[in-house]
Amino acid sequence: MEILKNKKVYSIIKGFIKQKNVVSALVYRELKTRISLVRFGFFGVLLQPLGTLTIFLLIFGFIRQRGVGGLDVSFVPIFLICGIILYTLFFEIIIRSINAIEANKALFFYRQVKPIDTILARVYVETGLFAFLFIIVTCAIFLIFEIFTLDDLPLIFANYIILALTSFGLGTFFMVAGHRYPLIKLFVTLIQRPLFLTSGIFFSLENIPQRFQPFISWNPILQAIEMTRHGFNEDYIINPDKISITYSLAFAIVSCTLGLWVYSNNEKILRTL
Amino acid sequence: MIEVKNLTKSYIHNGKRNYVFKDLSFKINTGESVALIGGNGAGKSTLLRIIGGMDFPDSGKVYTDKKISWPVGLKGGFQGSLSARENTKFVSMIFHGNEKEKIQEKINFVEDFADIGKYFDKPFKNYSDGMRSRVTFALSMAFDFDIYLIDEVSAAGDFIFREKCAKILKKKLTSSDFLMVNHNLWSLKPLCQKAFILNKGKIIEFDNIQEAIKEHKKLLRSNKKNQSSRKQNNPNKKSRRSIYSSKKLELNKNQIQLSDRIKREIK
Repeated sequence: MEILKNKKVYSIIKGFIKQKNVVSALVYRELKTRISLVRFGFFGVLLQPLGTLTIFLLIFGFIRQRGVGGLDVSFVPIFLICGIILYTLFFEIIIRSINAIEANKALFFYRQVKPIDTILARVYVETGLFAFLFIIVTCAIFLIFEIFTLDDLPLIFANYIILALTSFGLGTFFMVAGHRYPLIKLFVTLIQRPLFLTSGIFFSLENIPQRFQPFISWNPILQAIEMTRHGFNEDYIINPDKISITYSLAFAIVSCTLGLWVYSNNEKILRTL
Repeated sequence: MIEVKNLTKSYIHNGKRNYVFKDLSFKINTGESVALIGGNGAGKSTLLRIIGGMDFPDSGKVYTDKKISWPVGLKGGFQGSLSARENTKFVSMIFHGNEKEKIQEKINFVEDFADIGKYFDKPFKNYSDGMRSRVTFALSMAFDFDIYLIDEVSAAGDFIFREKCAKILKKKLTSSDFLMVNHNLWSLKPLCQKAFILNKGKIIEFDNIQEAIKEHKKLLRSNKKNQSSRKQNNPNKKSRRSIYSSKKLELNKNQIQLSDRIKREIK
């Protein structure tokens, strides 16, 4: 009995190492393909989202001349950047996950490559890329506006990871569902606009009338965004009844479970195409 | 050792289920290289894909305790936008993780064996057919498997490359087994001891390739005869004259229907 147990553990570890190798190979492929599409190498990959971010900041920075969430106007750049980065991260992961199978079709030639690995690789690349962007842009803001507020780094970090996990779970779910019923892919692009307006990218939950708050506070993106702002500056007001990391975490766990459950039931269909 | 048990594979075409094979079972022992023979569309490649783990059967299972290659000679598995070097690195990373030396060793081997010069660093989608088959073959030979699945490999390449292929295959044969598909039947003879004929979803085993080839040719001819006789008996195929007359008949029918309708409307 003891030997059997050990054998099982051994095979599980071996499986993990195998999968790690496959994912790292896919990450390599992903980065190489991305870099081959743009100029200036790795910097070119960052250039496009960096440009979008700057334009967003300029436009909404001009519009929002008042302070927000109990803080004065100097917090606005950080306020905006949290919203835009987290929202883009969320949808970038979901949409790239949905397209992961199509883009890596040729590589299912090697039986070691499973559809979930292609998603994992993309989530990994996207999470890293946006974390890098996030750091660059916040540093730039700190330098340009000569403010420095970073009260709760662990909270920001935890929120970032939780949001990435949530989008991984939902991305996997939509990938499988979209493969079986292509109309669902349309649903994702449809829901993107309303969520853009209600995820609190341009406003704080506190600015919304009390009775409307429950309609948008369920949104995990809004939760992550508000919490991250709070992480930057503790004086940024959040309502602990409505915004909590426990809720975000629960949402992430549920979505990952859902995604992986649906995936494991359909893996064969996804591979045979 | 490969053991295949009750393998069934089918696909649906025009709402009708067609079986590639039904309840297929066989066993290949370690140390035996097998030639898989069959006419076009008999399901040889499908069988290889299933054994290689790229395709899934409807039911049944493949048991093995050996490392099995992907079907050598199939030109899949390459990302078109990446160069051969990057593709090779990708595959090496799957097998070796981040061991830099081993990966470099594989890359050097493929570059050397494929011998396509500066094109090794150009995007794969721009390669000619010959270059593609050179790189795919070189990549398959870079890794050591216990059992190689080989699908129509000697079809491409100039004669120097073909000689190189034959040489390395013979070398590989000392340490691993082959499961080969090839329409150039006599090229199978020096490499395989056994032969399986795949005909109408059934496997016939032979211990002697020569006999198998004879039987295969007989089967092909008889299949062809059956097909052509079926064609002759096919009632849909009519002579030109009868088609003409039946068209005329249809025309008359239409006229009758038309006149019926007119009558009804007049009423």
